[in-house]
Amino acid sequence: MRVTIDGIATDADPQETVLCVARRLGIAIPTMCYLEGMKPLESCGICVVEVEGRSNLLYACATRVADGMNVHTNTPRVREARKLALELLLSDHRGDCLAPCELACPAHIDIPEFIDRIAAGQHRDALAIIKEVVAFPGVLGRICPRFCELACRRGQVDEAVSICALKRFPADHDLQEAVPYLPAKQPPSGKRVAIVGAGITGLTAAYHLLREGHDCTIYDSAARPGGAMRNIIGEYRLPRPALEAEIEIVRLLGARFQMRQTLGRDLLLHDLLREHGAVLLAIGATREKQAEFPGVEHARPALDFLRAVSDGERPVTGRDVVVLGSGLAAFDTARTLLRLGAAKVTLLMDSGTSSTTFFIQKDDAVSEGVKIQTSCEPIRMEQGWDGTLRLVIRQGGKEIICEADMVFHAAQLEPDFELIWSLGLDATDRGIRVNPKTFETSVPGVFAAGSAVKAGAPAVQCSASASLAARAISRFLRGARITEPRPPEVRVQNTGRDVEELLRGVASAPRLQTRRRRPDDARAGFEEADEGFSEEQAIAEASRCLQCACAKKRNCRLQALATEYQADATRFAGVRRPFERDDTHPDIVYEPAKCIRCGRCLVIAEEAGEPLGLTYIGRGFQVKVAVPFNEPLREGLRRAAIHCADACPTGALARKRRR
Amino acid sequence: MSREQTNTDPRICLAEAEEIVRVAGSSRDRVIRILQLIQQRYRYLPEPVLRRVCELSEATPAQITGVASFYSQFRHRPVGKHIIRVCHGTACHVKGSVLIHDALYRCLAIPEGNDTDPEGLFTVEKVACLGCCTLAPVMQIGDIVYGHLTPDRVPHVLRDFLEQDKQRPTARRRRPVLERRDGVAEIRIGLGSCCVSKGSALVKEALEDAITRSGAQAVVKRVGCVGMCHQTPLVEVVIPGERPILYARVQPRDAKAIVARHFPAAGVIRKLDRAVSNLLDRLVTDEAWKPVTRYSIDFRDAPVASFLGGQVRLATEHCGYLDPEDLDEYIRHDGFKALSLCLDRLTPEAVIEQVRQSGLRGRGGAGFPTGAKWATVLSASSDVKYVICNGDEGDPGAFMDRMILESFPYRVIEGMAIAAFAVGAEEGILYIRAEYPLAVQRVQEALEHCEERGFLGENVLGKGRRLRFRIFEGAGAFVCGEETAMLASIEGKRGMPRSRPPFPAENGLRGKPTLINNVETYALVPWIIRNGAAAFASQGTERSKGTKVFALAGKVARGGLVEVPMGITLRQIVEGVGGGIAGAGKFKAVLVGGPSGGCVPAELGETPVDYEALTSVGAMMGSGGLVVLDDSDCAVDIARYFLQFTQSESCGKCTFCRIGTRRMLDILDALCEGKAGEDALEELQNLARTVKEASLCGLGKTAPNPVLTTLRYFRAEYEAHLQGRCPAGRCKALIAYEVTDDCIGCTLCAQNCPSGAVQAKPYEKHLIDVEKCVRCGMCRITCPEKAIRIGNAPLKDARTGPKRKPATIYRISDDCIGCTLCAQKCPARAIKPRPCEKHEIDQERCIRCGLCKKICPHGAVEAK
Repeated sequence: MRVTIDGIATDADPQETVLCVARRLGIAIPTMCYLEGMKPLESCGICVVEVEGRSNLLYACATRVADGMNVHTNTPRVREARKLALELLLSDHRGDCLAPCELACPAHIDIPEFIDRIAAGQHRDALAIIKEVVAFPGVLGRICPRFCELACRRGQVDEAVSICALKRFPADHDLQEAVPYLPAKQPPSGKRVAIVGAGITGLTAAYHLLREGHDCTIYDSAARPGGAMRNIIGEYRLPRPALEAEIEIVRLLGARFQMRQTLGRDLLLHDLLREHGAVLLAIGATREKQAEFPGVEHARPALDFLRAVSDGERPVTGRDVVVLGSGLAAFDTARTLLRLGAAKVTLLMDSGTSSTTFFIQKDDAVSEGVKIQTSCEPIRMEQGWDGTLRLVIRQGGKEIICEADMVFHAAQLEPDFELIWSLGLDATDRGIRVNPKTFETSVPGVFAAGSAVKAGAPAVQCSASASLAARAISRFLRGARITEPRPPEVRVQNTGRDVEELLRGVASAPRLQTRRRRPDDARAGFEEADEGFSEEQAIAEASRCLQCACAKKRNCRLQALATEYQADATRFAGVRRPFERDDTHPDIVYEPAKCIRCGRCLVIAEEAGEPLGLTYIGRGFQVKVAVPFNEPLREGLRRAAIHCADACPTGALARKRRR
Repeated sequence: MSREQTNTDPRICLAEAEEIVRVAGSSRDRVIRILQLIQQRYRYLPEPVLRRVCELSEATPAQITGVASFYSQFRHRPVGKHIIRVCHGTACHVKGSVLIHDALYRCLAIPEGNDTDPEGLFTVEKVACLGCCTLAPVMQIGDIVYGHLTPDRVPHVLRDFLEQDKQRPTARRRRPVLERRDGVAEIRIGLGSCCVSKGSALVKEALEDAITRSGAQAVVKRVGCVGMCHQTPLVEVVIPGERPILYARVQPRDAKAIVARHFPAAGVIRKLDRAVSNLLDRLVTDEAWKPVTRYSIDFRDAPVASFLGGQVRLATEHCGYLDPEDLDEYIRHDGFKALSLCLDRLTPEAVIEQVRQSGLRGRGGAGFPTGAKWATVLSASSDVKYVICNGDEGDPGAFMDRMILESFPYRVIEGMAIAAFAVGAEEGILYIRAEYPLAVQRVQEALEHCEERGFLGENVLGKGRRLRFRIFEGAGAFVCGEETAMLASIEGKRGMPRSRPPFPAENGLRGKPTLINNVETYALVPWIIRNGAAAFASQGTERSKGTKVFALAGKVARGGLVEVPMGITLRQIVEGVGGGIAGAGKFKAVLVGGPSGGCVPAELGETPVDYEALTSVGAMMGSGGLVVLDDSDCAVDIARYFLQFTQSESCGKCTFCRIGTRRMLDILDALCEGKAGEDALEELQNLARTVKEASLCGLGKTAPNPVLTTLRYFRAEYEAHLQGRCPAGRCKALIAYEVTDDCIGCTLCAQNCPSGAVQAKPYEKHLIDVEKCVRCGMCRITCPEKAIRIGNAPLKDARTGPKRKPATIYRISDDCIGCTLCAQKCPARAIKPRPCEKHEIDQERCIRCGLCKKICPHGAVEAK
């Protein structure tokens, strides 16, 4: 018997199905419910194919071949039907694919997983998971704006899990080890990359590129690498040994540092391009955007001040100091001034709560004694005869006069546009213009990332963009197509009532506080104010994590296919099942709202000779998989639980996390 | 079902489970029968009994639980003392059954999500069709059918029922009935389900009573369905040598008068009776709650002649005078002649050739050539083959199969026997819905009679052939009309279909070749064999031969069961046979083929009844429901109604049907509530097309038909719904009742309004509070001046949903870092979470709650 599939003619046995023959020919037809060696379940509808002469689409898993049959497995009509099937399944598929925290994390650290490892005492594993995407967990664990904690589900019960401090913990723990954790490297690719800028962006990109086997040279105008991590952030927040240790890892991976090299003066872009396969501009945003109000010249630039302090200088400060500005540098200036002996430090912020640094530094700054006023607009400043500065600000429609010995202005930072233009690069109003997906600039072979692209981006976003840029550069160096990286993954998330269901019965457990110096002690010197978690604390805090992420997030068939077919998970709104979770079984969890009713588990349970097993209850849209007579799951699946969980194409049935 | 509840049920005795399993058999394929018997005993399925059955039989807990929850016949909770069945058939739907249902819930104070009133007196059930389409809207309490209901009558009906129930005699007297003889006058009474449900059994009793008392020389004779369901109960008086007289809509109290008129008694009472009988000649309006008119009708009357004149009776031959249970009478009317002809003179091949030449095609809907199917089964090599009669008719508004089974059980059996002979099968199964108890009973009795007389059994007609037929009672699942689902059901499983091929003709029941034909198809076979293929093929069109039985209902003047020749146009059926639209409405469309069929607009009324012609206009022959719509019916509402049906009947196996029909229904719901988005129609069309192409079985493949045809022919109406208007004034959320200047200030509407929405001052024009109004239509019904008009609902915010709320528009600026916090919190799911990329707000979905703006840590949401 002859059949043709996608133009390939072959001999086939009449007992064979279209799917069998296609697989033999190496033609991939996606399936979800199909179980090798079992009667086809014909439920998911994802294996539909077109057969010439038949007006309907046929299920490849159940359709026997016939002589002269001409099958097409990948026509637009077939793809459209498969996409629709996936969209329909997704429209009634509830639960979290990823935990809210990892979604909110710009770097996409696998937060639930590393927290799980910490809880299990496997700190090196935890570090390895974090260092998959982030090169500076010790740094970020201290200075990150913690979007993850804003999203944390636990926050709706009591308080968010201290994700950030937990991220820092394995990095700090690693410092005490004899041999630090060093990620594995790919064999050398023979390609060279020049990275301009040794800040978090440049170093992170180098970290990833080196792991990929590329040779990296990092150029920076400063004497030592670290960028803003060294220049702006005070030692009391980020002790230098923690920073050096993580930079050391980059060096150990093979990075070459060329310090005191300034782009445009000592270095020319076309020279770099000639000698390297690609150039990454991680030049950051280093220029202060001057504010314009009369008397602004009396204010001292905060950046110069911070840089001097970081170089070990301890400049004399006034008694009564005002800091203007709302960015990262403003808080650091204020807190550094306290440590240098200022009696009163007032921070006048021009904007309010929208600043990302506001979240993380506000409490510390206030506890140390910084007075914060928001929504202040400076009008003018003048110097009195005794040198006292009088700053007139407008706050809430009223004009207020502040007197101070010294005023620091922490202006907004922006990239060096003159340099960008002189290099012949296109720019946006926030930095170098790049293709947002590939990080390519307007000059071929030149990439850019971090705050050079988007001034004011928090460190974690710089880190995230650096790792994405590194991936793009790596593809570019290998000659692969870089225009389109992976399509966005299709996900569903719990909302509203589902979250309530998820959180029902969660016992309240207060968030553990890290070991902090008393504010008075803290402001007395440059010792680190927050010493993070002890191991015991870290493990206890890690066990507060609710593990919201789907247990199948790495091997969900539905998600993989939905991503492949670019199904729109939000296409259909309407009636859907509420989220439920049954974790009464010792080995597996059951989340019925994720079930696609494929029937695999029913067959497996029956094959395994389960006395009760599983059955469909009801029919139509309401049909669900359950144990007969409302018995608990542990009764229904006594033998086949793990087998069922592994066979489930979604996270409806999944193995419990070991703990 | 909570276990405590069932364990404390004092009636439960586990020993009965043993008895039930012994009676029904203990193999896996007996599960449905076992469950039916348990339910017969307890009126629901108590869990302890089910568990005991698992121990006693081969059935597994998984199978029992799966099957018990699949079929809608089975109940899992104890029921109220009386069951109210509210018909939701098509005819009842277009006449407002939803309002009746709502009124019942209001009246009985049944909490939402429940079906039984707090006192446990009444349980309200929705049924697909009671088969009384011409009395629509109807409900049945116990065995009493109440028709022509309006919401305001519901409390009276309940009171009436409780009174009747109190007075009900515990046992009825048996009366001696005259032996039937030739030459004796006959009073024929229709005893099809629709007649019975309208009280013909009581009429029969009353007639017998009247005959006994008056001593009249007459017998009362049951006949099958006459088809004139719009006139039931029908009584025909046939006196030899006289012109037969037909009485319509007879009530038990008329019996005496009818008997007295035709069989005058001697004595004092004679005069009195005379006076009474005169009443029969006039139109009598009943003052009681049932506004039923009774009058005698004549075959020569124009309406009756046109109703019957357009019809050709083959499957329903001898309709109206054949006693359904009388085998001798059937034999006198050429019964079993065809079977003996086959056995005596024809080879199986010759029989099949006859069927092939006749051009007979399957009457179940798809129209597969019957001869070809038979030939496939014949040629399949197997020691065992089966024939199955598909009587699982479940379309709302269709009751052809039921009527044929009830009225002509022998004919169906004969057809099946011929088929069994032709394909070489010895075993046959009649799959009949359990909702058709009368059909089950009649066929059961007929099978017994046939066995006794040798038409079935070990040695059929002495020719040495073996034929065993049995009945399989379905348990309430429309999808079991699909042949592979039916096979699963017969094998004791959930009625889930599988893909074909292999077709049942090659691989059917228990893996053996199985012939499955519809009731009507089998009923036509004896006629074809007796009269020859050519006679049959002379009726009809090029590719569709013979006749088709339809259940005609809806807004038509004369509904009922009709058998018409193929090729007759839809307009001829509606206007000729059906007598046009009842009342003042205008003929708008015909729904052909029920939930699998389509909506054919009046402009295409010339479409002939022909498989291909109907398919070409987007409809299909279906099993034979014909529901006529007038201009007060809303096309969107009709599409939604049918989809509700198919959606609730979907077995849930394949994705496309299970979720696809649900999503289509979601869109239609949104349309009917004025909440649909701009791209709703396009989305609906795309969805419908793919569901049709990719669903596993016939149910899913045809479910989109009503949607696709209404979209095709009544697109303007859909577009009006997009703008929040319902031109037919049907969709509750889009209409508002208004009091016109005709109001005389009588306050009747206010007195009847269930929600207190009418502000009425006597002698002043009343006002209706749109917010309070529940759109039950009570005011319109009660208003003596017809001063309530249906208008468009005012554009509101809270009711018609978020769509119209004029407010700020939220946008995401370039400050977005892609942290997805806003998307995670958005209650309307209007923000697509694309991590690390700038998010976007879907303005269609956005409900302007502003949460995203509040939540964004980067101030990246701007409000305008």
